[in-house]
Amino acid sequence: MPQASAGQEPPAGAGEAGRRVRRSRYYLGPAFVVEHGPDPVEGPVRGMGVVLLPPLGYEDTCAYRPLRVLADALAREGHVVLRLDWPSLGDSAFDSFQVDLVADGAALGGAAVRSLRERGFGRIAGIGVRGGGLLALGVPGLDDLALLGVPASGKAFLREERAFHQTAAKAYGQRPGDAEPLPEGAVEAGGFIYGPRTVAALQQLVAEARVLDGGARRVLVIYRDGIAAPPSLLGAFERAGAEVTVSSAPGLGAMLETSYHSELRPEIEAAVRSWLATAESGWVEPAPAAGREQLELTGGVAERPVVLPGEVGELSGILCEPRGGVAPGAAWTLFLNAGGVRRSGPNRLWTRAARALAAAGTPSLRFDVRDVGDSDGTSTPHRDLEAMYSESAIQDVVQAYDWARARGAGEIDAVGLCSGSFLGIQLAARRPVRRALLFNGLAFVWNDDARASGVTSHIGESLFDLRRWRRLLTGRINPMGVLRAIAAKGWMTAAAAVSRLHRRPPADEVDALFQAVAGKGTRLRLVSSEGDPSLPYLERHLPPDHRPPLTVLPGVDHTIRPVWAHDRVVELIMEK
Amino acid sequence: MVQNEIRDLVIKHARLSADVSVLTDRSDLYAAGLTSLTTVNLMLALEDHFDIEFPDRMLVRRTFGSIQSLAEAVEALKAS
Repeated sequence: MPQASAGQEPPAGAGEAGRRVRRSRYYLGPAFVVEHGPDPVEGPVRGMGVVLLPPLGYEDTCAYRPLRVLADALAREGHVVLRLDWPSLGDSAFDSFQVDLVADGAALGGAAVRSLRERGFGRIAGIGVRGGGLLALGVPGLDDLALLGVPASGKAFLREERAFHQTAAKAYGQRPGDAEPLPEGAVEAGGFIYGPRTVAALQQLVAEARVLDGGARRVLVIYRDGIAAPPSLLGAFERAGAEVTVSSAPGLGAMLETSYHSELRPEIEAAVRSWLATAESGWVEPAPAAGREQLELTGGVAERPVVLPGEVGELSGILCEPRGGVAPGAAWTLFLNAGGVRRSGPNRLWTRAARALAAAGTPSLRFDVRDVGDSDGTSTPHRDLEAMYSESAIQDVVQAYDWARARGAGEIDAVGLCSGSFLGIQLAARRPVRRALLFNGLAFVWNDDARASGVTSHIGESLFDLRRWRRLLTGRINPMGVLRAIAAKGWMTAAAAVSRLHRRPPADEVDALFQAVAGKGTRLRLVSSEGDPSLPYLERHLPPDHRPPLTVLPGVDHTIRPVWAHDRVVELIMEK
Repeated sequence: MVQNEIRDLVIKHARLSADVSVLTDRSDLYAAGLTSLTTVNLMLALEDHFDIEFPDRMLVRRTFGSIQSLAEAVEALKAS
């Protein structure tokens, strides 16, 4: 039985910095959960459990690593933290047409609260970020609620999402005339869809009217950088008798705007930690979590979290397979990280493709290399391009390959996008790979020529083409961040990059690598978005007579955000 | 002038890669580093500052493309 000891003096070891964090992964209903907690051997556990409710859509992609860092920080303070993937996002069940995120999100949050109470936690705090904060307002049973950048209403949130999508539309190019339109009532934003039921519910959701639904006694509001919190929301909390703290801690933009180098700013972490620290909650010896180890999906598909030993700690992944398992020797697919995007892939495409493959009988492993997603490593996904294209990242992929083979995988297919394509070809150079499907690779060998290409591709695609430059400045990557990183490292100036790219590469390592991999029997397939910088890279390094089959996807950007193109991506992955 | 107020908000919220002081009112803000995400920040800041709300039809790049186009949008919304 769980033991609570509210109100007593903190036992030895309480709140000490540097406590080890234990993470476990399981499913709560349809939702994937990562539980972060303090190592109980090193000290006691606080009686306040925390439910971390992430943002939605593209912001969820960006905030994943920063929220992992926040959960770890709270665990080191003695809290048990449940970090959820919302239904239809990340590694949870369903797609966006199957859920009403407002109702289903509140139900999931409520289930998380109940699970903590049943384990002995006497007080529960919720931390909701942006759209996740809107959903958090409807979660019953929260005693304390922190809202980071929460919009005033679901309507306002959808308007922001539409603005984000419509102002990025120029980067996508033209939508083909034969592309299937979105169903009536759905909203597309930045690679994700809000289904009709979610949109209808969000249109009715007014944050201040939901204040009483959750019944939180204490509230922390951190609003967007430099913009005041909605007065109506603050007033509603005060009228409801809640103790309201407003923080102007900056840093939401750094958490939410790019997946490439999103970070948890210390101001945000400090604001949340200090607010939680003022709550009286006592100490507890919690019962173990009672989550399920496997998620059963429609189509005879099952998923379970797996942890692989890595050089710097745990590598976290999801094994997706036909229910009942597969025979030894079956071919597996490895899905590789695209830059700093976690294992569910850009626009959640890897999760979707993995489930389609499993329904057709093919197991897959989607996992995070070090520093990315839910694997151990640095606090930010990648500090710079060198880390993204590093030998250590390749070693993690090789580790995952060997892990799969040791568990009965026969042949292995690899799927990657952007830096994931680099990892895919490098894996094929080191281990037998049956098929490598490489989307929008900007560098297949990381050398000075790639650094020059990296300068121009990641920052401005082509320094000679202003139209392309403008296009790249529309939000995929923070170009100045990359430029600063490159300049700080002294790798190469932009002028040197231009000069280098005016010359032909001396002896093309990329061509040699592709010849070698093809010579080993790997079937290579290249896919590039129309107008993507991967195309001039291929032109420079792989003459057409040496080039593997290339498919060009019209009207999509580097990370293939337009949802009408997603079916085609899955088809390409499913091809034998 | 509305343009000056907008310029201040651009400096504070748009996180441009270019130096805003060298931009003219008609300079392309997207070419200067405005992204779709920082457009949303800028939109919220403008709405907060001028007590307006951009209708859906105005949530396009053309509206946010320059300080001048923003000034015209703000003036139109304040007048309506």
